[in-house]
Amino acid sequence: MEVFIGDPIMFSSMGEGAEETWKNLSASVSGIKKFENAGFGGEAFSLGKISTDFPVKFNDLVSLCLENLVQEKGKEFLSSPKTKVILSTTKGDMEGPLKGNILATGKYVNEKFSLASFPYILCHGCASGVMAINAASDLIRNKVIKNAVVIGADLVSDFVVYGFQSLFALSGEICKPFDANRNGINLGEAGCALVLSSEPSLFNGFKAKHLAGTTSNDANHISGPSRTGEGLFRSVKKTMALAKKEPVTLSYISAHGTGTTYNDEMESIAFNRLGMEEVPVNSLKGYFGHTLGAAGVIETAVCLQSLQHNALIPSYGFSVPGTSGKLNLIKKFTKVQHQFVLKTVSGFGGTNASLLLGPC
Amino acid sequence: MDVLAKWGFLGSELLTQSLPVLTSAGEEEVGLIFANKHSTAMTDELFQDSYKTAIPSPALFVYTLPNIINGEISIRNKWYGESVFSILPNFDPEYYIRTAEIMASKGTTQLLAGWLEIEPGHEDIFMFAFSAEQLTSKNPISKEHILNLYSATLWKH
Repeated sequence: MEVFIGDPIMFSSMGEGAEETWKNLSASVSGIKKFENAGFGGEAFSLGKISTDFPVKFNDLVSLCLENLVQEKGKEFLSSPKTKVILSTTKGDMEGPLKGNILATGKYVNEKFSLASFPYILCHGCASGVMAINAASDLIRNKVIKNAVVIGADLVSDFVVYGFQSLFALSGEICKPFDANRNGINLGEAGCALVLSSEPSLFNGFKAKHLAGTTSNDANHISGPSRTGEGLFRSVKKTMALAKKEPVTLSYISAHGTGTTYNDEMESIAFNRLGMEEVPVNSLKGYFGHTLGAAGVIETAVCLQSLQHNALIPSYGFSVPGTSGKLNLIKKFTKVQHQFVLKTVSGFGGTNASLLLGPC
Repeated sequence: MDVLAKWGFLGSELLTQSLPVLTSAGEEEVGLIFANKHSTAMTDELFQDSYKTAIPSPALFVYTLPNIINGEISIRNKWYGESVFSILPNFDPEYYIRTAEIMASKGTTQLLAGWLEIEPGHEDIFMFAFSAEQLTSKNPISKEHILNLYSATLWKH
């Protein structure tokens, strides 16, 4: 059975909607800005915020994605028993009480949009977004559901800023994934919805095929990546094997590329072990920031846009190679005939996930 | 470790020590399926307290993601397999069966599963293991079977 994926709805520091986002990506415009007093001691940090004027509320963001979806696909599609809503988030709504906050969002959208069943909520760190897309695809393949709406959403909150700051993981400047002078991540916020379905005629715009996706653990450390890129290597190997595709067929890899010394180094090692060092690769974190639970979803949406426009977006912030594994970083906007596109994510807990997209 | 990780780790040790089929499985073959209602709410509050009263504690922050337990168990057993942590409104036996079916299609042969719901003064901890074979055997594992195991609490407090 074939699973199709498409029709992204995107809200982030890179714009309102898929069109504005692609426009900014194509023009190499980053959504990241420096915010004074962002840190615990009043330090300035660079962040990818949806609005610089007012704080966005989590439930509003998720709701906005679904409202747009209803406009495009209709109420009946969303509340059909054949459609499952799958939410990927790491922290959910951090403004009110912390207990039950993620379930509260599930309850809110369940009622507001008269869903046929409670949304499936995946809460698995920074790998959640790709895992949610893979879960959707697998449920469709297993004929448990016919359609899925995958939403990835996370906000920049004091909680996460202070947390990453306490790990010395944040950069004051726009991050430089894979660059020799990289010095940390930028946190970002986003809400992104993607549609998956076994029915190709359902899509309004561009669609691709979701061919396969897997998850693998590093089995090494809970907050630092494996030095051998073990989990990423194994996940990608499994994904490619399930899809029966060779590395040579890849036209683009959207890596995780957070901009930390260790993550980017690990990915370079994994991609070399996989024989993928020549495949054009980028990180999108220099545009959106690291949007945590939304990252895997919004970055897959950009993969779809790249496929749609037969283009490669440059890896923002990269100029000097800074990893021991050689990589083919995309340096400028390039037109290309796409074949298969690989998306990877890695996260705390040693989770690594990947998915493979192909043309229709 | 935080309280969620400690419970998950303890349960996983009890299971691996009593089920040789888990430790003899291939290093990519054990799938971890976990869920709860409240994610890491208790630890979230502790982390928040740390920066409201003193300075943000990195040791606490790391445990404000529920899937860290998947990591701890993977590290302990050197398992490189499939893994997931979900937030569910209630304990749901179907979640484990459905997820196991998906993992089995990607090479998983054994499942180590758990419900790790932590609330102050009320921990609801249930962990179990089954083989992928049991999904398609003559008497396949059912949601009733899992529900019966879950309901047979040893002690309540």
